[in-house]
Amino acid sequence: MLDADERELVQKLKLRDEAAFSAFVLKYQERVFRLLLRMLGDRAEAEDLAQEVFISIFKSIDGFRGDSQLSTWVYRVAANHCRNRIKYLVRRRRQVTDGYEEGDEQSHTNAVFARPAAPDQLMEAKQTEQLLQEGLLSLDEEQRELIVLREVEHLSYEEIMAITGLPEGTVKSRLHRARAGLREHIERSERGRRR
Amino acid sequence: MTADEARALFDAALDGELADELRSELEHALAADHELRAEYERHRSLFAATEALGRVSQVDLLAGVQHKLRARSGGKFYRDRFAERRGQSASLGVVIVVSAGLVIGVLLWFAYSSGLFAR
Repeated sequence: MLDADERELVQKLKLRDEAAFSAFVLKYQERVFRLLLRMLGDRAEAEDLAQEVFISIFKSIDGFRGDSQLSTWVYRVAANHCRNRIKYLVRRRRQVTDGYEEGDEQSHTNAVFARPAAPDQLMEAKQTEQLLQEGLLSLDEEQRELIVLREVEHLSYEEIMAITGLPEGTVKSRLHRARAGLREHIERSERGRRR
Repeated sequence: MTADEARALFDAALDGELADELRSELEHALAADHELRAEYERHRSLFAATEALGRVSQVDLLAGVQHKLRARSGGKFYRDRFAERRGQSASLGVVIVVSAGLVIGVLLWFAYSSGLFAR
């Protein structure tokens, strides 16, 4: 599974080689951060969690047996941390708002991750990005994770199955629903803007 | 192929996973139904647009990760060399001050015992 370079890197990581770990962080930081940013929709939260992901990897690298690609394992660790952080944020939000706001869990989730609206007119690319990010945040966390892994990170179904632990049929059917949900959200937003 | 059957194939078509025969059937269905074609194009362009989500401004996590590891390992990992040097010079200063104090103490004791302070 691992090529010679990765095997050497993993060996050094298991020896807690600081230079090798620094190189590892530089190699994977963008992928981990992008996944977390798209899942959480908040840059500061994503940066903080990405640092925790790398610290966790530093501590738990001995548990990596090399039966998947290193990148797949890194994504799996990041995705697990992300699910836990989302649960924590939702719980915290619920404690803060309990008794003050009405609405179901989904609206709480969205409120936690909602970004403040930009005051100025945004460029078209920025608007597209924001619209898509809002669409992502409107999905439940499982669907969002699948969209990010497939459409943003361009991972194969095999990699997604290894990261999520879901069978292929489930990945595909959930991804189908996620795509439909995202498309529906975007179209609804666009109709709303035209009015 | 009905419109719903065609819609069910949109994702597989975007993933490039359709067998030749089904792809040909889908193309046929899209050619025969302009609304369905428009729907497919919207679906396709939406997922082409998700490329935008892959572009994030640069991030530098290394310093933060090193700092946290240093703090949580009690300085075992990523030890701060600058602090270490400062630590050494601070210890040296303490040794010099204590030694000087001892020397002065001994000299004062000799002076006292030899009667230099006697009136």
